[in-house]
Amino acid sequence: MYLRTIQTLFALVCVPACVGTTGGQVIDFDAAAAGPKDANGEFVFDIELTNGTRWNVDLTRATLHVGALYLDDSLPVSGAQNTACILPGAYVAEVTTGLDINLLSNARQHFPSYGHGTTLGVQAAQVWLTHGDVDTIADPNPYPILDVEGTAALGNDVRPFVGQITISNNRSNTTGNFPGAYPICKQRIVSPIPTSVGVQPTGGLLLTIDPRLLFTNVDFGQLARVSDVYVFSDDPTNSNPNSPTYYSQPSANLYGNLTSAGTANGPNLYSFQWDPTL
Amino acid sequence: MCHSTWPAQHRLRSFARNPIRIALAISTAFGCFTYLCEEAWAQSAQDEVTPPKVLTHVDAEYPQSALAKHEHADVVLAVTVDADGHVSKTDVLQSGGADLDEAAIIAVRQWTFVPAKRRGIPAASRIRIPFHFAPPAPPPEWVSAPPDAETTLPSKMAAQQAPAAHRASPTSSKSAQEVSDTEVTVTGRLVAPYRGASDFNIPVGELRNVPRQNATEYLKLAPGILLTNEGGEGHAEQVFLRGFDAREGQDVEFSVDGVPINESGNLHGNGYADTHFIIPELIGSLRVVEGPFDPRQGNYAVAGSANYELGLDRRGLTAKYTAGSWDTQRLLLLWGPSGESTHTFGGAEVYSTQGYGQNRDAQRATAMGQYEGKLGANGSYRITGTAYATHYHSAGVIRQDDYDTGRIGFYDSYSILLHQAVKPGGDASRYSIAADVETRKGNTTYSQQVFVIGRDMRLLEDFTGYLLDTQLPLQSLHAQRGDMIDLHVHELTLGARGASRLTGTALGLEQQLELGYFARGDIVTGTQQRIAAATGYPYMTDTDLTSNLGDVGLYADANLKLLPWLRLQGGVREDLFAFQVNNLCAVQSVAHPSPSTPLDQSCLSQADRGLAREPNQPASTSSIATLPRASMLVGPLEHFSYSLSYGKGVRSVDPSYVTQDVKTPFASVVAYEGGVTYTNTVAGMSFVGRSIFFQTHVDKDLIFNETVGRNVLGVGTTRTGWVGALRVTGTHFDESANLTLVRSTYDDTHLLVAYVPDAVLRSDSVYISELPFSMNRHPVNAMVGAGITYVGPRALPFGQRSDSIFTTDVTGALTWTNFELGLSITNLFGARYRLGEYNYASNWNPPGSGQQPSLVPERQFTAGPPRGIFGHFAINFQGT
Repeated sequence: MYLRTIQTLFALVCVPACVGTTGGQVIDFDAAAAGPKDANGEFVFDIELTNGTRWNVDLTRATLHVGALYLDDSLPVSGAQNTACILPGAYVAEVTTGLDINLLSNARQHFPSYGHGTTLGVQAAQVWLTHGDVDTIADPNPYPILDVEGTAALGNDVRPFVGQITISNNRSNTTGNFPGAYPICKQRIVSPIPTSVGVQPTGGLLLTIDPRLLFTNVDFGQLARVSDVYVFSDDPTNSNPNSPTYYSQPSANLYGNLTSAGTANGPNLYSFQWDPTL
Repeated sequence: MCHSTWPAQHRLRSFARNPIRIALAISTAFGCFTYLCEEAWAQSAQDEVTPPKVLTHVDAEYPQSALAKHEHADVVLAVTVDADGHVSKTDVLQSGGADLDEAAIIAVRQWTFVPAKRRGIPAASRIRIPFHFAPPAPPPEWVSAPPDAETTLPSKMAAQQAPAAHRASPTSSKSAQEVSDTEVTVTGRLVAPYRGASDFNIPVGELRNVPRQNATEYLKLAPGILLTNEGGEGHAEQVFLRGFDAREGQDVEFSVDGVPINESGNLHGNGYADTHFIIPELIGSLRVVEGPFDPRQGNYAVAGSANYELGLDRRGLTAKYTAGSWDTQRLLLLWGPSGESTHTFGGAEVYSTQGYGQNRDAQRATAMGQYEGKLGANGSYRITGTAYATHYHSAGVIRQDDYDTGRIGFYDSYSILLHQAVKPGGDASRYSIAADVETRKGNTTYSQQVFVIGRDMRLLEDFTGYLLDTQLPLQSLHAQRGDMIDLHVHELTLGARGASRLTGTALGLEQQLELGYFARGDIVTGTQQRIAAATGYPYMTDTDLTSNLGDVGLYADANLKLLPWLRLQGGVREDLFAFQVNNLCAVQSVAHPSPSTPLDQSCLSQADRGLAREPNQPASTSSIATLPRASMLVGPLEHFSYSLSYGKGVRSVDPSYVTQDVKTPFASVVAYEGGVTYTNTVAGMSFVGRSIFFQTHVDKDLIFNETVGRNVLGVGTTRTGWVGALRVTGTHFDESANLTLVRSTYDDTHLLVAYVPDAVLRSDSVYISELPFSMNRHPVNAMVGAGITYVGPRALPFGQRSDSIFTTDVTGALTWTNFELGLSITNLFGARYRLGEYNYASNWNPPGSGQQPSLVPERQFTAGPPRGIFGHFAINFQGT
């Protein structure tokens, strides 16, 4: 008590000087993810291919594991050179605990822990599709990153499909001319996603994922049939057309859509907004 | 005295009716004013010499061997009084016979004095003391002691009063006080003229008893100083001064007896200044100039300068052993040969500690020696050598969120938690030799100094954990290997400085002009590599520089008294900074790499598409800085001195920023201030009070970047603030207190500069008294002291504020004859405080931990030491 009184008296000397700020704020915020607003447990939609073919898709399961979210204050200038996994500039906000997101629900699914950040401006975002360390090739978790199931129909051609996408040893590519040209982190990190979220002292970060965009230009007609269902291959090294896990156009496009950062004009699979109601 | 002629207040009414009286009064007032001005000036400018005064006085005993002759005799001694007030040398000017001479010498060696002062700083002096010996007659004839001999400030281990016997005293009824007033020659060196209220000449005196860990902490005797250290006991302290984050010396010019301490070209920070090679007990005084107001101030004097003046008050051999918390042990030996000046000494220390918490152990050994000899009748020379080596570890920073979740303890270290193969810490060594000479011929005083310094340093630091070693597209595949920096610096410094000061008379007043130079050359190699945490192997070279650096400065400083109470002083300094830098690792990336040259190969020998080139890149350039400095000192009122000061200072650029033939950019500061100094002596107590308003502007500030591990160039900054300081010295106590309030902002955004303290309050107090009992007829003296620091919440990045710091250190000691026993408690109240706080990104989750990295700025801190208890025992042999 005596010590506190002394300290309080000393603190009075600071009153005339200890004013002002270095600018910005540090905040902890709630973070959540959800499917689109019109998600209600099932999506029925059409996919029109570039050749004019239109598949009708009934998506009954779409679960995505997001390992982490990051917001950055700079957007790399696009160019021919490869970009690093970590963005230049300063990271503004982060959510470092993972979440399995039901993309068919518009309910806000909260990340287990609060995010942490500053109130700097945001220009780019990253979605980390990983269970473990982003640089460790083998995923320690056997569960897929993306798990989808549904039915695609083209006239009378009805194809039940399943797809389980992992990013582990199967995505490691060390065959390039340059060492490190295809690091596993490049596979796992969806980046840079153009965004201009205004991080505020109140509210929270909402990540919206529209699962319909996973199937952009996916030609279900090229899926391999395994037993009663058509299966998206998770083996990008398999180039044998006769193999049931042949990595064909729909598998490549599903994975490509999953890991596409999109464009500033969208629409993008991943979209961020600062939700004052969170 | 003028004030005695001034009419008493009750006579004013009748006085005002008489014009003649008014005219007389005006003329009297004018004369009085002039007198007051002169007197005030003499005091406030603190520029004159004051003679020594007797504190304790011991009569000489009439020797038994001379009793038979039963004669009267006179002995006249020439006595050298050291800056601490002790007698260091005696010469017999007039002999009264061997026995009587010896008796007089024995007596006078037990005298103690308030030392002579030059500009307020204790200085050695030489005085004549005549003794008259009269044979004893029953009853013994006593001569009274000097009037002020009984009210003294007992010096520790003071000489003992001789038992009553047949005694001889200083001649006749004239007190020793009067004798010393009239027959004194002060033999100290020339000192730089006082530059205004921010020129702090600080005799350490008894305040040396306040607990301090090292020489840097003596800076706290100057206002506005905050010291932090995130690097360990062998790492230089980070200095905050008047709103400057001077890092480890980049913005403060450090020197010891004029020999520079700042290390030009040090890769960790250009101007890095490690003062740990100075044995604290050998610090006699400091001169701290807060601002670039003196033309003698050179490179790095941006926030100001600090010069340590070495000296050893105690004569004889002193051995001191200290032991205490955290298995801390220190053995100190000091040697001050009798008969030599306080500037002749030797000292050595060996120190070891396990440190508080984790990974803070340290060992060091230091040796220092200096000899001062006379050079003819008007000169002296000094030769100084130092040697220092240390090995230490440091705990580094702690993330606040990790501490909050219990992942790591307050005093822990990530290096232990993560089992890093190499722990943060380092090694340092410094060896130097210096020689200087000062002599006077006619009206001119010449000084010359040369020095050679060898310095090595290894620094292992890790501020960010596993953040920076990200996978780049063209690197070999790897996980994060760790961000630890392994930095090596080897530096050889050769230099000299010299000056001639001409003293003359103009306008009926003494005027001075000094011309001087400073030159130093530095040969520096610096490498910085990154160490893999798991193996301790370096995996990447960040920097590999070899630099030859030159700094030659010339200055002229005029000290002009226009009126007895008005002085203008100042001049100009010009420094040429020359750089020859060979970057041995110039190519860090390849525009179009070949498969055999991945990006994680350091110091590449190709630049583009396999095109061969050597990995190095030489660059050389130079630039000249012109630095005007001026002060105006006004002293029209008794006890008050007003000053206005202006100055420009520079800090040379880090060699890593040198580009061929591009003039080296300086960080330059422009400083303005106005201040008032109050000096007075009341009832035996000496008061010095100051109030200063200041503003400084830096055009290109250096801002510490934790991710690259060193300072990087930033934008312009401005600091505005106020300093108040008070020192009161009495016969039994010494108190120094100061308060600094400052606001530091960026010029472009007007936002606060992070990390610098807005408010710093410091108090140092010592009280000494003789206890009311004695042991074996020898008095027992007691000393208690305290050092109190308060630092207000500091601005941190992103609108944050740190915690405030409030610490109290106390000490106490008993001295009896030549023995001393003491106890010190640091952080008396056991406050758990954060000495350094930072906001930046770090990630202490190693690969494979399953945790996603933290990439966003987060609060980190270094823990201040908990309560520490230390005891010491000292013994002095052959001392006075």
